[in-house]
Amino acid sequence: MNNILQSLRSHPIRVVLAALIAIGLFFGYQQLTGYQKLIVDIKATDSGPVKIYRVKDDPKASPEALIEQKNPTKEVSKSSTEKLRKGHYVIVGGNSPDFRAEYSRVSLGKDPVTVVIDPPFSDEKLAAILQAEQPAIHAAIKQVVPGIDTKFLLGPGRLYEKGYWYGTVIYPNLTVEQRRLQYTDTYRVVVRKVNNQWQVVTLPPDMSLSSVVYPNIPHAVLSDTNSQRQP
Amino acid sequence: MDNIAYYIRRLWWVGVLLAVMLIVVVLAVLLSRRNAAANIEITLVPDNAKVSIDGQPSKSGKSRVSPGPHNIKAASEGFQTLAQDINVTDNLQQVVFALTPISDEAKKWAREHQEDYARAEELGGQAAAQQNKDFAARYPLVDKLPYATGFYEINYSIEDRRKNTIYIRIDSTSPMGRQVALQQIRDWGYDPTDYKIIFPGLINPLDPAEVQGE
Repeated sequence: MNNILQSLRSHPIRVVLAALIAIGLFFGYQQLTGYQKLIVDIKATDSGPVKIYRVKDDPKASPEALIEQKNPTKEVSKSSTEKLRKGHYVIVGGNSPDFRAEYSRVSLGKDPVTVVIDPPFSDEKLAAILQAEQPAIHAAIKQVVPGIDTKFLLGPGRLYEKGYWYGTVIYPNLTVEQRRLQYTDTYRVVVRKVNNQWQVVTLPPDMSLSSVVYPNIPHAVLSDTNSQRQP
Repeated sequence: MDNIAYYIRRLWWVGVLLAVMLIVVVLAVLLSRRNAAANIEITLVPDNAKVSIDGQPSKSGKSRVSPGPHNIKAASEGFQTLAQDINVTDNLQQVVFALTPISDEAKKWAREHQEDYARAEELGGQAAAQQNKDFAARYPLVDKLPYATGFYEINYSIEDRRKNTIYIRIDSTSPMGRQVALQQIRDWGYDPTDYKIIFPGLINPLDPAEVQGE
């Protein structure tokens, strides 16, 4: 042992090189075979269990296709930190009737990953909420947009996410036949529920609502509202 | 006594190993922080011109700036001062200033350094190509524009040169033309939501300000 130590002392560069190689081997081993943390942050606790599926790396395949006929690697019912093997995963939230399934793709590599589970309500639940909320929503629009119910009409519209976003069309007050013969512009508006009050957040209503102009409105809300048509 | 000396010597080597590991970790952290800022590379002709970034003196060659809009100015005695507004992204961005000589002395210098101007022109071309590539990546729809039919025309204009933002213009005299133009954007595989779209000359009947102005 003394001879070894003497030899090392007389060749300090070998010691440094050996240390660097050992460190490199350690990190390389971690990269290849290690585990990593996945932090699951469940915002909607009644949205059902969150299922985590380990999948192959295929960017072109849809998340649904990747998990077809697979069993989940893990199921979690509350916010937690899971230690999983490094690789690719699909995380599915919203596994309950009142929610729409939401898919997240995650790659676990050298850094921990946080995935937020906050699935939107199902279409059926949103339609039920809309029935109760529509009068208040339309009243809020009529307060700030001139000519509703006289020159213009509001479409039935749609609620989004957790029922706090609403989008609809505004079109000229003509009969169906008149609109068929006389093509008219369709305008769109988005309304948001804040502190129990509905407020119009896209003023003035426009034919195409832009995420560049309204970066704080969820893109999916703007995009779907832009796709709505006159009834 | 010999034993104590022996263990002290062993501890010394352990300390050396720990120091090396610490240096490696610190270097890794520093390198990752350096990657957070963007790089620009400034080329100057003449190369001793004074350059400033957002009013702060800088230098030619590589500089680290935060991503986003910046104003870069180059000046040299006897040459025309030039300023450029650029939008810095994550990629290395070339900025080239080939100053125009004004004074007789500067013109003489320019004649004697033609190869510097030629090199600057080549770099300028590369910089423009990179900017076009970044622009196309940011606004892929513009590759299809301008696009015109008998009912409508779709084109784009620069909204803010400094921030490199655009808006899409849909020109049509009919509601059907406007609707079909929006559908055409979708048919190309783009979402109109991703762009600011205006309809020039059209008064929005739901905008009290426009209606009053009418």
